[in-house]
Formats: sequence, structure tokens, C-alpha cells
Amino acid sequence: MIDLITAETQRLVSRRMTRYFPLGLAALMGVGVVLAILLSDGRGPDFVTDIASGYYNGSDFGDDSTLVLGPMGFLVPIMAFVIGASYFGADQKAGMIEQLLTWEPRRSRLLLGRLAGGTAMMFVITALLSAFLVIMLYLMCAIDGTTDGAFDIWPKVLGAIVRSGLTGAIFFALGMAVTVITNNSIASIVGFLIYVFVIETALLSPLLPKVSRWLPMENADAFVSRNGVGGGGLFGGQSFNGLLPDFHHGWIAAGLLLAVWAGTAFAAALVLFNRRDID
Amino acid sequence: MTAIVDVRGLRKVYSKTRGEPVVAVKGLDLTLGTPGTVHGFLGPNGSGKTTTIRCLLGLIRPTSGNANVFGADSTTSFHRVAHRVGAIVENPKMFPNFSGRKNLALLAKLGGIDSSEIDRVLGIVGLADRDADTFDSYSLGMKQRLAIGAALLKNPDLLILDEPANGLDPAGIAEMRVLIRSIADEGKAVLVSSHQLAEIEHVCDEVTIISQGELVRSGSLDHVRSTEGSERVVVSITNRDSAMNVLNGAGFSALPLPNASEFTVEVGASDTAAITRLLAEQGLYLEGLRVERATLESAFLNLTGGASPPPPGGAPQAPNENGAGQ
Repeated sequence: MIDLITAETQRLVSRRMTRYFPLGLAALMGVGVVLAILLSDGRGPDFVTDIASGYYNGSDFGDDSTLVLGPMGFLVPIMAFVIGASYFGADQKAGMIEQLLTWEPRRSRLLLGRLAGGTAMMFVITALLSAFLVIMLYLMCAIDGTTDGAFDIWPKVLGAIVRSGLTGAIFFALGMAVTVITNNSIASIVGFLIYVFVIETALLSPLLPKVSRWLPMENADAFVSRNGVGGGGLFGGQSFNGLLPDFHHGWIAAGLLLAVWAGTAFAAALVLFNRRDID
Repeated sequence: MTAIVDVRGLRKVYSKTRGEPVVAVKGLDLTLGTPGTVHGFLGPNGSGKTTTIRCLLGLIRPTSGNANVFGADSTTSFHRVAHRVGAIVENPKMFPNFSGRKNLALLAKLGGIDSSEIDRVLGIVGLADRDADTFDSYSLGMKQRLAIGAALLKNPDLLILDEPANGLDPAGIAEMRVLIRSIADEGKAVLVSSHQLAEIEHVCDEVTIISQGELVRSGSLDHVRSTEGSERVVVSITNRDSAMNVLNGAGFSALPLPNASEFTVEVGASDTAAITRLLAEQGLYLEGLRVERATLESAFLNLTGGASPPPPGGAPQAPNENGAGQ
């Protein structure tokens, strides 16, 4: 099993998607920070507050920076989902799953090996990406504000990086599972994007907040930013350190909910993959 | 003694969301029992060859019947014998942006195989000097050879090759023939599905011919060829058209050859005297007559009702929407 996981990890890293998507996102972060500096108009950020409040939403820096950096919390789950979906889908399309099954015919074992190798690698990639953002934020503060007290809050920053990595791993598993179920990576990716941007964000969050608080993106945001989930949607509510007007559950419960979503999807994927003809 | 491959009553039906279900294999029996044997698995397009091979490898589930390899049911227990089986199914499949060597290294790691084996198989398939190039930069023939290398990596007791000569040039096909024979001579069993009947004929000891998902003939190559193949007589004569008219009028089937003075007659060898006599009675005297022995191709065509094998070296067939490629 260790050999299988090692092989799968190498395989994932070798994919262009795995390399270029995070690099593109890192470039986007860099551009976002530069724009934030340009738009700050001399209002220096308090780095301590900035990071402590959840590094994705650059809060005290003002509305301008929030607009620039806020979508990052959105993009990491999307990146992880897309990489997970294409990781399985591309190999399925190329016939590599068939090739691998002539070497490891136990399908559950193969899928679990892929899951373990892939999620471990996605954890590392997403955590590194988050660390990169922290560094960029620090530079931003150093250039146009203050970094006083920045090193006093390193445990919180580290926690945010770990939570971000876990979120990446969970959404990777979700993407892979959905692709196994649909047997079509393009369909699962397009479907996910429609779900994120239309169904959850544009419809359910504003219209049915009592439903959306159970859903993946809402909980991903709550988990990474260490805020609770309330009645508001991703962009709504006063989701800030438990000061929600309509608090429902905390960030640990949000993380567990994400794990349940991914676990349920993966269990369904395992059942289907074990029964399906590979051709 | 446990058969190497034992297929009994294998049936596979692909259900379709629209239209009638497709029956790819209809109660097929197939036995491969002797180590050191090359067994040709032949049939026209859509006859069920690849479906059968996929069932043998546990990739698809039979609707009914059994496919056993080394005594293990492929549907439930193929993992017990997977280390003894090397296989290529249809197109060569590898990670496109990995080098040839890295592809083999990953598979070797997966199978717990010593990395020294990689050099051995790269040498066997003639890719030692291109091992660092990525798979997607390989020609089709090189991809095919790497896939064969991957199948050989396990040093398998049973090698299943589905269209191994696809994409290979004539020299590559000849090398493949030697390779298959040498593998069998080491005591391994080889099951080869191929459209290239001439190649199969050169290398096989046994053949199974299927058509429309059903077994039509199985046995030793010599037996199938001699009992089902047609011998033909090639006649050389100056007045070819007249000679053909005489023979066709007498109930023979004479067909012209490209050479203006030659034609063929599908007959048993014992009929050559009758041909000579009939023509002589009409004042038509032969310049030459030779008997060509029955070929696997003629046996194949007779048994499959004239269904033509695909052109040699043709592109691999894409599976239909239900995956019933063969």
C-alpha cells in the first residue's frame, strides 16, 4: 500500500494541472497584494489583526483589500476540487486506470491509494499556497503599514495554514469522488462550478441560509477563516470570531461537516467503482 | 491440472439507455492449458475478443458464465493471480508525461518488482536508448513496445496481448514474432488477439476463432488450417479467359490474378488432375500449375462467413458507446 501511495503521489505531482493551477493562483495572490497596496491609499494595515481575523479576509485593511483578497478563500476549494477531478478523470480517459487495475485489481485498494497519495499531496500544495499568501500579506504590511506583533501570532497563522491544507485535501477527495461517480471529469468540474457560483452562492445562501449553512463552500469558508457558520452566506453575515448574529455552528463542526461530505461522496464512489465495467 | 485460462459459458450483455442491449459475447468457451503455447485468439471486428480479454482481466463483469485464470475467478479473485499475468488491452496505455523508464518504474513499484527488471525489459523491447523520453513523444510503435515491456515486467506466466502488432513497422512485427515465440519457449503461455492473420500463423501453436460472440473453431493451428482452410491452385496459361470459362462451366470457382496469364481455383489438392484434364480436352495447355496450401486466412474467412479481417497494421478499433470494442 505504501508503494501504491508513493506512486500515486509522484503521479499527481507530475501532472501539469497540479503544478500550473497553484502557480496561477499564487500569481493571482501576488497581483492581488500589489493591487491592494496600490489601492490602500496610505491606510496601513495592522498585520496582527489582519492575520488573526483569518488571513483570507484582510479586514482592517479596508474594503479595497477585502475585495482583492476575499475571493482567495473561494479559489482554494475550487482549485483542489478541479485537481482532484482531473487527476482521476484524465487517467480514466487515457486508460491508465485500466492499466493500473491489471497490476492492482483490488479496486477499493487502488482508489484508496489514489485518495491517500492525492490528499496528502494536495494538503502540502494548499498549505504552501496559504503560506505564500501569508508571506505576501506580511510583505504588504511591511511595505505599506506595520508588521508589529506579526510574530506573536504565529500559532494562529500556522493553524490557518493547516486548516487551509485540510480544506484543500477534503475538496480534492470530493472532486475525485464526484468524478468517479459521474465517470466524466468535465461534467463534474462544470457541475461543481455551477453549484458553487450559482446554486450555493447566488441562490441558496441569500434565499435559504438555513440550508446553505450545511453546504460545503459555506463550511469551507468558516473552517479556514476559523469563524462560525451563521445565517448569512459566503459574502453575507458578520462572520467574525463567533460574533455572528445568527450563530449556528463553529469552525470545528464546519471542518467535520466537510469531512462528512467528502467521506459520503467517496463511499458512494467506492461502491460504484467496484461495480463498474472498466472499458 | 488447473488450466491457465478456462472460460466457460461466458456471456456479456451491454445494456443501452436507448435501443436494444448489445450481446458482445454469447456463451463462449475457451481453454488455454499448456505452458509454452502461443494461442491465437481471432475474430472479425466486434466479435467479442476484447470483451473476453477484459473479462479475463477482471475489468468487466460477465453477465453470466465464468472466466478463470490459473484457477482464480477473474471477477472476484483476479488479485490472487495478477502477479502472474502480464497484459496489453487494445491501445498502449501509459502516463503521457512520464518517461518510458519512469512509467515502468512506477508500475514496478506498484508490483513490488525490483528496479533492475526495468533495464532488462527495456533491452528486450529495444527502448534502452530512448528510456528518458516522455511517453507522448514516442511513435505508436514505440508506445506499443513500451506497453509490452510493462507486461513483461512481472515476468508473467501468462501474457495476454491484444493486438500487439498495431503500429509496428515490418521489422517491429518480425521482432514481435520472435519475442512472442521466445517468451513461449521459456515455458510461458501467450494469448494473442490479432488482426494480422499472417503473423498469428507464423507464431501460434493453437487458435480460437470467434464470430459474433460465439466460438466457431478452436484447436491446433495445423488442424484448423487443414480442416477449415481452402487450398488453391494457381494456374498459368496463355489463354486465361478461355481457361477460366471452361473451369467455371465445370463447377469450379476460378478467379483472375493480377498477372494476365494467371488465375486461381479454390480446390482440394486432389482436384489438380481434373483441372489439367478439363483444360487439355479443350485444347488449352498449361504453362504452369502450383498448389498453395491452406492458410489461416482462408480458414478464418470460411469460418466467419467471409467477414474480412481488418487491414494489417490498421488503427486499433475504438470501442463503441458501450465499450464493446470487440
